[in-house]
Amino acid sequence: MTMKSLTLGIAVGAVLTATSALADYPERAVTIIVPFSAGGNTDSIARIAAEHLSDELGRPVVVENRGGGGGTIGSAMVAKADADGYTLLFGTTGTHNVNPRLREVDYDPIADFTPISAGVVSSVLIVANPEVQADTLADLMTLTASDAGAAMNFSSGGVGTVAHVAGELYNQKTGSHLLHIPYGGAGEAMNDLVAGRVQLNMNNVPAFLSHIESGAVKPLAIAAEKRSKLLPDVPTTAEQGLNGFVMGSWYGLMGPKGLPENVVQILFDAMATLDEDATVVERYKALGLEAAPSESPAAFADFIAAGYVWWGETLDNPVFKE
Amino acid sequence: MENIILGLSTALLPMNLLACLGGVILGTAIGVIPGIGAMAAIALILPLTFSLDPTTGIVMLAGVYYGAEYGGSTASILLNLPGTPSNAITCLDGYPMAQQGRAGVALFITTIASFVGGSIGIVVLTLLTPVIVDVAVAFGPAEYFALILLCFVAVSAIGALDVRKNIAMILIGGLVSTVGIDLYDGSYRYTFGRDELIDGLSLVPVAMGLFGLSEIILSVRNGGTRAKQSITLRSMLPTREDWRRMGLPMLRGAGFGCIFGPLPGTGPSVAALTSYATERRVSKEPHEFGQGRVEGIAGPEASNNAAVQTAFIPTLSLGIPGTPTMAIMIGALMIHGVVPGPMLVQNEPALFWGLVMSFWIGNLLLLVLNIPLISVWVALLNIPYRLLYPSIIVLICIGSYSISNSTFDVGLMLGFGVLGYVLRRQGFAPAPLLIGFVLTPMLEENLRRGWLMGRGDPLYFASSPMAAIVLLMCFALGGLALAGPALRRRRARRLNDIPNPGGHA
Amino acid sequence: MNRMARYATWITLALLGAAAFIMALRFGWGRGPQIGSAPLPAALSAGVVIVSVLGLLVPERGEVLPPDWRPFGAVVGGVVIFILSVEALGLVPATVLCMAVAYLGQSERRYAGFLTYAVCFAAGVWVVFTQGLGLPVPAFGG
Repeated sequence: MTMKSLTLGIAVGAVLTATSALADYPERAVTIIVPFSAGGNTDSIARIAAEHLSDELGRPVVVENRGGGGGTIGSAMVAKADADGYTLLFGTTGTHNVNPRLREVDYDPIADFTPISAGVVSSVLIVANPEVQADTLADLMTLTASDAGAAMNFSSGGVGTVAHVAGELYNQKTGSHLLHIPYGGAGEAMNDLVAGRVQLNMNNVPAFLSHIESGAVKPLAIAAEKRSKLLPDVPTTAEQGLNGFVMGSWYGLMGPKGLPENVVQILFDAMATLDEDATVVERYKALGLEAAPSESPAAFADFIAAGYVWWGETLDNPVFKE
Repeated sequence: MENIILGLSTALLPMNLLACLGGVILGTAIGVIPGIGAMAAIALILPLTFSLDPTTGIVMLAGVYYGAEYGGSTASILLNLPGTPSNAITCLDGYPMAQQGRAGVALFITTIASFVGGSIGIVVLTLLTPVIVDVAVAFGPAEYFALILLCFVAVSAIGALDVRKNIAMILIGGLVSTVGIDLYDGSYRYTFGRDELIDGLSLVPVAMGLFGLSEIILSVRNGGTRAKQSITLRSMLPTREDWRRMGLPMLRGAGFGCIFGPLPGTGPSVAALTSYATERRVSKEPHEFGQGRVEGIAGPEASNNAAVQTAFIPTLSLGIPGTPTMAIMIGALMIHGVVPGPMLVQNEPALFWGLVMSFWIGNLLLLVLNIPLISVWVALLNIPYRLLYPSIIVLICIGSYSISNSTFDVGLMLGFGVLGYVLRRQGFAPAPLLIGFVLTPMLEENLRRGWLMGRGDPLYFASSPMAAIVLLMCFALGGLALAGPALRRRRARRLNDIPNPGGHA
Repeated sequence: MNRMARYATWITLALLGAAAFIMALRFGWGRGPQIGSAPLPAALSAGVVIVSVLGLLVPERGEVLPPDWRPFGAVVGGVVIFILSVEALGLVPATVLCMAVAYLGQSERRYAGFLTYAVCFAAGVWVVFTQGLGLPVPAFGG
């Protein structure tokens, strides 16, 4: 017996036992690992989705926080978990696109997981302190590319976060020299932005929503293909002549590799109605988010893989390498 | 005024009152368990509040928060097991009091000081929120740097008699705090390739090992030598002398709490530290601090609680969390569909003012609940030590384990316990290490941020009047400290025969 | 003995400081207005070395407490056994084992009574932590 057929035999055996055990999935509570601490963005998104999944599946869906290592510890845990559908992961851009490109992690973001569906896809919004002399993105690009631009700062919630990469990408695309000022989190970064010590921030919509409403910051553009339903007055980057600047974050459900097909289908069907659940829509809206389930598990897999490639190329830039 | 009425009418709704009561009870109960601090308590209770109405849920979570802060000081005083930096300050004089058989008095003073500090904080929160928000926003890296430097200079006197030992401990604490991914360039400092170290060390295993576990090893041999606790009501009431001594420190402490609490970059730990350092400085007998001085718990406890209440100002009205615990509170609000930020007070007046008034009701409830409970806690200390200490070890282990559900933190706690034991045997005090651990990251972060913003110009740090004045104060205090040894030596000669018990700060 | 222990402590601190310093040299030193990640740990560890050398050179006052090996061994052993058993055997056995080992640190030997207490305590721990606070550790078994 060759090594290959032996492994195949084991694999088939494993799938067989798994399927027989999973005929009536789910038979007990399902655990979703959130690889960040309770109360964070991913946690909020996952908990709202989990409540919806509990209703759809008729079994409790419990969120368990396994923070640490920028989300890589919890992700590695799920990568090694049994593929029985009872241990799932709420993965993010950070855990599956960015971190594996920045450093060694204990899992392969593509091969070690079975994608099910995205939950939320959020776009980057470019906001400025109200005293910045620019009311449109076009004005801003002229301003930042001039000498005055070199005295301006942009903030982020840390090296390698979406806000940091967005800022550096902006510098590259517009020939500006904004200086990056990192903070311990997106919330902390707001203080200096509101005070005007930092002029710009480019992050996902939720970070700014209440500050836009109060006028403490002004939104200039959204880095998406089309305008957001939540902020219909804010034009896209491409509309204002900044091309190749579309980026954001996603948050979605996945399992360990080799998740049985019927389990994937059951979970996908439950996720697919996320944007039809009024409570979910309302709660996400309050956070500045929109539910965006994928068209199919395969579509979500392609989406993650495409993101992995995009981030790999974008992060291959000396500014991100210490 | 109408805000207060609106707030009271919201907070006094039966459902909210019940949530507040449940919150403070749960919070106190969880906070008393060693190793489970306010942050863990909130994270644990969070899912339970999802089904509640937003106001009710937040009232409950807030109750858990300050209830747990309160409960944490109980474990600190009784067992030398701090779960937060401000609790560690309470340990310094609270635990010696318990050893002297005055645990009841210490707990009573804590309760009163917490209530006074909390109440003053709430008054400030009610009347001054708009002003404070402006001040908080005006604080940038230069101001924070100066302020934290001042705090560093002020607390440098806390610790053992030998200055070198204190400096060594502060430096080690600072070094330990640098473990993890660097915020500014994303490089890994002292992570030894372990994923668990990337986010840095959590305070709980460090503090529990350093203070708690080392204390147990030191106490087992003599059966946890301490005076028997009397549990009559009389013995728990502070003496007239105690009352006289705690008045001013409480007020000063509450003042520090109201100054540092609303600043997102400092918060309760800096408030408690400053209060302790101040009391020690203004006292005529600074060498008695660390041996059970009433001022040493009254001041920091009042300031801690004032800061806990006022820390809600930036959290609610700017959406900027001052502490990791506040970050969870923001998350909880957002899950409930309430977005904290400048619009919160306008959009949700009932929630905002209801919450503020519930703080006050919660503090009253804590007072009423805890005074009778004091005798129960004190009775706990009369359990034979041979039964008590194995139980405490288990609780410390589980507390450390629960931080990220991994044995890694338990191992870390053990490492710091052994380190603490070895060093304390030689007369090192654990407090300076913890101070270095808490303050160094704040100092480094603001130094490097200011350096960036000033484009490498050191004068940036004196560019605002506020920052310049505070920096001058640092130099003045530092100069005083350098001139101090001569004075202190003279004083030390006089007190040469007073032993330094176990090197407690 | 006193003196030996004191020297050993300062020497250990100096060595650890030196090791930390050498490691810090490899962190980033920054560029332009960016202060790197190296200067602070380098300064702190250099400080540890300097203070330790001062500690070695200038004699100090104060008593060194004698080591208590039995309590030390029992407490450390108790924590170690907890680490080893909590995920493999479950919360209840880990609690009882940890307490039993820690109990060896003092001179009394009334195991029967103590073990009864430990089992009751473990049951309480399970109710509070696993049932009440949702700690994801099973009572028995990994």
